[in-house]
Amino acid sequence: MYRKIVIRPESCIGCRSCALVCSYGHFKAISPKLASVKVYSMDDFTEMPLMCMRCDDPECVKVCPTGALARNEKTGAVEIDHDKCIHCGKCVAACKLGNIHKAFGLTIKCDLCGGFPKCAAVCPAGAIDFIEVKEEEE
Amino acid sequence: MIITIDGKACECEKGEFLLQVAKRNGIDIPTLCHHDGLPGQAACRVCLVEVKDGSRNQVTASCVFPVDHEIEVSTNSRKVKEERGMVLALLRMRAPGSEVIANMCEAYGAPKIGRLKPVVDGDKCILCGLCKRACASLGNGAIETLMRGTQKYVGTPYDQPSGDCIGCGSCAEVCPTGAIEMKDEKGVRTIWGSEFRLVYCRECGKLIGTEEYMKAAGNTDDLCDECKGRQTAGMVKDFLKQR
Ligand code: SF4
Ligand code: SF4
Ligand code: FES
Repeated sequence: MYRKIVIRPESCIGCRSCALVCSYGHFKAISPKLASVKVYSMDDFTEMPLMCMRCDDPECVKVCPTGALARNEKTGAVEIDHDKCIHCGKCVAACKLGNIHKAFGLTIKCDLCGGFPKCAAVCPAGAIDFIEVKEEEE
Repeated sequence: MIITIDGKACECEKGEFLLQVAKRNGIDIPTLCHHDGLPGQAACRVCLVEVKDGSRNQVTASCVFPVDHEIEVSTNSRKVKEERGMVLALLRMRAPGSEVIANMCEAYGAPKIGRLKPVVDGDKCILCGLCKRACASLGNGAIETLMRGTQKYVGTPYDQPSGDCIGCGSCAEVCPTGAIEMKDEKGVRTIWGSEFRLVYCRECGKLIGTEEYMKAAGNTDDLCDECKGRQTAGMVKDFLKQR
């Protein structure tokens, strides 16, 4: 059994609480720019929260020259060690889904908050959830 | 294992480097050439600490000093202050143009040495080699330390534009003294004597890198992170709708 994030865009009300709690949780700053969850306003006036989807074979880990990106086997998330990062930006270019970005001299990506994603906890509309998955359902 | 740093008991594993242990315990040691992602330089020597090991005393670079038994460490003893001050004073002669070094000299009380003259006026490089290690780690290896002794400097082979450089700017990013010049102007990046065409996101126009760099990162679709994310969001949405 493991847990995964599910998004329900039809429920999202676009309040961006997830982005704020994310930036605060990681950097003690309230700034959507520092958040690893982004809320996109789509052309049909709906909102869509999005964060790292944890590829099986992550490109970002493959291109990182210093080993700053590595999978945390416990949570399954690819985490970034800011001290090891040399800001080459290769991961940003390599992630085809657009889930890594740079802001204020930092490379930012979702790490599932070490196993308790705050975005899922704070979302008032239930658009982000952290649910348990049984192996057989995978 | 427990060691004491500045009187504080710090837990650590055998083989860990002193600097690492100090950092984890919130004890500040100044560094220039150390980077967690590219460890083992030990070129600048500003991370000096005094290690008391029984009756033996030594002042040593903490970034490469592995802990293997219980020791007593001081990061601010008279001897450390003296030697670190001297190291910084010499680095100032090496890199008189660097603000970072000047500020550190001020902060850590480096003495003025009257009888020495700067090696090259206005130079900012302390020859730590962090830039070349970053470049090598990326698999480019475009820059090296060239010549010996007082003539030593960092550059591309024969000072010619290097075919291996991809213009990523990681060297400038890791350089502790801001010695590497990189200029983005009119769609062109200039670094190490080479020029690179800059690539902008085809949707929103944000700068995303140089042509060579995008190729090296395996990105052929010229989109920035945000526009890629928007594309993904659309795809996920369509997928959810179908279900
Ligand atoms: S920007 Fe940092 S985390 Fe990303 S590939 Fe470069 S060194 Fe690794
Ligand atoms: S240019 Fe900067 S990183 Fe390179 S050797 Fe000089 S001080 Fe070190
Ligand atoms: S940081 Fe230890 S020698 Fe430079």
